[in-house]
Amino acid sequence: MNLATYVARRAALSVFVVLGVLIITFYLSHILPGNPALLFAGTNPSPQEIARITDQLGLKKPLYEQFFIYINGLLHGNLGESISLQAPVTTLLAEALPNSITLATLATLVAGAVGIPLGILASRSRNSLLDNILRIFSMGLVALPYFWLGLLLQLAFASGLHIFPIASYGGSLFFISQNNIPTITGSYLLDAILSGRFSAAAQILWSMVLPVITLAAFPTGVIIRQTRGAMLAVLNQDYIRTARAYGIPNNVIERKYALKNAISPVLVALALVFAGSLVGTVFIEYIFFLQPGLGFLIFQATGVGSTTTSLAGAPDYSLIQGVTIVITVAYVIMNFVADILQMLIDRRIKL
Amino acid sequence: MLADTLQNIKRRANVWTKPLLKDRIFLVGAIIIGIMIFIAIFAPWISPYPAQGEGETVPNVCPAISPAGVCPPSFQHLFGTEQGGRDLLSRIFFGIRTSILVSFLVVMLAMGIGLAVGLTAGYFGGLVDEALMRITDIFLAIPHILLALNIVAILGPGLVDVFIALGATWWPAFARLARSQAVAIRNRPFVMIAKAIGAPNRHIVFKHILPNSISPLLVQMSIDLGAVVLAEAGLSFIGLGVRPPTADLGQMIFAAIDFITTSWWVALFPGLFLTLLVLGFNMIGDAVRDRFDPRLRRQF
Amino acid sequence: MTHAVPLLEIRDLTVEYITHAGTIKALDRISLKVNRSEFLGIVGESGSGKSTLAYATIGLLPQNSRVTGGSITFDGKDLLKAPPKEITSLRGRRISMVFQDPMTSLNPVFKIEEQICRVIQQHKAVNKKIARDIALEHLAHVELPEANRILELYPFELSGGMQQRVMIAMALSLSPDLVIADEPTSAVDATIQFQILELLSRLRQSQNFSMLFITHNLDIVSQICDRVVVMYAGRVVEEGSSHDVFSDPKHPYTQALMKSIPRPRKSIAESKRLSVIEGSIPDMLFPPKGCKFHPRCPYAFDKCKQEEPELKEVTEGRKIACHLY
Repeated sequence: MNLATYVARRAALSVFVVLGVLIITFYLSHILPGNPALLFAGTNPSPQEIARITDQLGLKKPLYEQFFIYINGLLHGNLGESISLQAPVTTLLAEALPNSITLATLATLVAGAVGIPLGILASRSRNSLLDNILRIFSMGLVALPYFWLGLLLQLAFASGLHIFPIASYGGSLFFISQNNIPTITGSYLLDAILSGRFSAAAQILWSMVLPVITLAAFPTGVIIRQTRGAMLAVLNQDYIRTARAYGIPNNVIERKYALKNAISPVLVALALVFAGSLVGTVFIEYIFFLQPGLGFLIFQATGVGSTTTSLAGAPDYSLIQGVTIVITVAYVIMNFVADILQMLIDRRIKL
Repeated sequence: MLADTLQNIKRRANVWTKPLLKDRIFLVGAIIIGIMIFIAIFAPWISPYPAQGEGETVPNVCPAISPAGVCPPSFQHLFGTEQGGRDLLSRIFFGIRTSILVSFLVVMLAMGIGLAVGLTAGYFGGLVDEALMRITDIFLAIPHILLALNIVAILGPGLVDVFIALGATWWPAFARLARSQAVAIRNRPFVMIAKAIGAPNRHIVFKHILPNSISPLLVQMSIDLGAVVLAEAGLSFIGLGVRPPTADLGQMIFAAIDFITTSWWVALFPGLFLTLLVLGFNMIGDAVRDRFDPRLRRQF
Repeated sequence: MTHAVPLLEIRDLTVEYITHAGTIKALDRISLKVNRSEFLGIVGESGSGKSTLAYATIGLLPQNSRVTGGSITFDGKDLLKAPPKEITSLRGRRISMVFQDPMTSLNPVFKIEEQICRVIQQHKAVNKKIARDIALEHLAHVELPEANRILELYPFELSGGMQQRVMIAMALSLSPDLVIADEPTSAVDATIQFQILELLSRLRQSQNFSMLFITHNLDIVSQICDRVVVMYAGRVVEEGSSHDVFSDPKHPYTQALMKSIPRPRKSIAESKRLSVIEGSIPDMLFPPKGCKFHPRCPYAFDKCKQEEPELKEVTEGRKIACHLY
């Protein structure tokens, strides 16, 4: 099969998966115990409110019909209304995505830039002291909870040493409006750069340092391990032995021969790490108060720190559903991208 | 029948355990987890203030420093106290209990579901296989925490709900592994012979396929334990985890945000123990995986 | 030929592997010589140490191995004592290797051109174009049609036979003095095997190199090798000219090997039962005392169980390690 067929096949599979996810999120809210209307009605709804929602969502109709209504709405860009924020979910998501994507991209870049070299370093001498230190280091990174690391960094470098601002893009809630940053892409950082406001952009970037480091910690650990594993697997192969037998020096073997073979699983990992970072924004954006953002939305949707959440529909389910769909689509896309990249590198897969 | 299966598994396990014990990383991880499990089991007896660990609040612990009862470390309270005057050390011990309890149960549940789905799909093949695997793929596409979030959002917070949510999230990876094992084994001679002499399917699956499939799942289990602990803590942090007053490390860290600038200990210690716990699990998982990953052929 | 300085001389080489289970002596005081323009065959079963010999010569022994004695002298230089930089510069340029499985020995993500040219450019200060010309020239030597097209292909796009020819071309591209072939025909089927052997014979005339041909197949050795060394469990048991050893095998092991070669007879009535050697190679962790072949030898007597026989010159150019002689 050639490139076109393969791409088409993978695309079809991806669509199928997304459809499946939609079905699941839809049915979850309707199959699990409890009145679905309550999920969408907010805190302590009045009987009239419940009746209105029930009507609006067509909850009295048969299940599959409800699903069609839902999908229909989806295709028209209607993901429902967020109860807690009183705004259409689609609008909220569109607002939040660019910033979160910026964060996730930066975190992925950091993870790659730091993780890959360290992974290669570890693979050079298996079971040596350096290798073990790096292994433990990467395990430590992977064990760190996002939220804890974020708090610690905030404590140490922001409120403690005053190097970085404690929260918000640019350091204060009003930074963006004060500096008149226009909305071009929706991402504060990009917009500042694109509109030529470089000093503002610099400040925004500065305020993103701690969040990005926090977000990048876990992925960096993952990348180090993936790179190390992939390199070790490749270095054991016969063709590396051939290269050595012909006098190719070690550093060339590493850089050219081994790396090209080892890079595919690492690329796949990077793609997944990107999508995973989007999920990580849940913690980061709240702690560092970076709004608007996907994670921030989730936090608001679940009732911030509500230890008194009852089943009376306090979680803003349409918002949660919306974010879930967006992030899952992102995962599916990234998986797809990773597959294509793999194909381009290893020509064997085409056949 | 079950006893036989278990014995088979045990015999195979012995082949691995010896070289693993020599791996230093495995040992360190095992020691950490050993200590943690000890703490989890004996929390009520080794905590300095077990009642507070379980949630009892104490008024007026240090009214001068903090009206909310958040007191710095002292002789009476080694790690200080958290909101409500509760001894932090005791709370941490009970929190570890929650984490370990949930993670083990979740992984068991996930492995159980995964085995059931995967072995069925792999053994019977055909349409059943296709259908089950497509469903698995869909579940795999949704990031763990998001799916769990969705479920808990619907079910409401609480230990049982968290358990269900996380269990429903983690089984796909096990299912995939179980299926590929089943597919590889179902064509082996001894299975075909069993079929030929008319052994019922159930017998074949339990006695032949299951014991041979279990190894990669056990490896996966050791890798997943750490992740589940983190996920559980994450859910609690968001507020959708176990409900207070049950101690939970993630929830404790969240509560510490309000006091972060004045009372660093409330955030530091719970997080430290959480990280250690996950690290311990990861070390074990890493050592196990490093040993048995077929790609990393021993260089000899 | 017998008075000229040998190209490669291995003396009393001993190599050990250190494993979790114990120490294995893969090579036990091996001595042999390869002269210029000579094809030497090394025959042995798996586990006899023949591959270890090849890797020791080129310096690619695995990490858990130790050379505990002996010397490997190549063109006057002791390879075991030479600095790593010198060894690296020898590889490919003066000693090159052809491996058993060409499919896995060639890098799957690079085109053939990239792989051969890099080898050439590593040792010769030439630009890409000249390197490519050299590659083309050698691909033509190994009788590969459309060499231009082949350079643009990836390894998996070639058949096994073609891949092996590419490997041979790569091995000869820098006109080395010695080519070590580690079972080059074991991974290809019989007809291709024959072609490759023919090719090597022809190349021998035109390219002038020595070869260390390692195989488990005595038959092949008789076809293109001048001399042959028979190895068993890390020791040389018989050595001599290919013709002599083949027509008159003296060591019991060599005799048994000869007998086990299947030979087609004129009719079924004349066919004999395939003869096999009883037993299997010894557990190298706990080798038998005395001659390592004695458990399987039909002529074994008391001395064989006590004392290990040394390699002795029985007639001119013919050496045997056996108490019978």
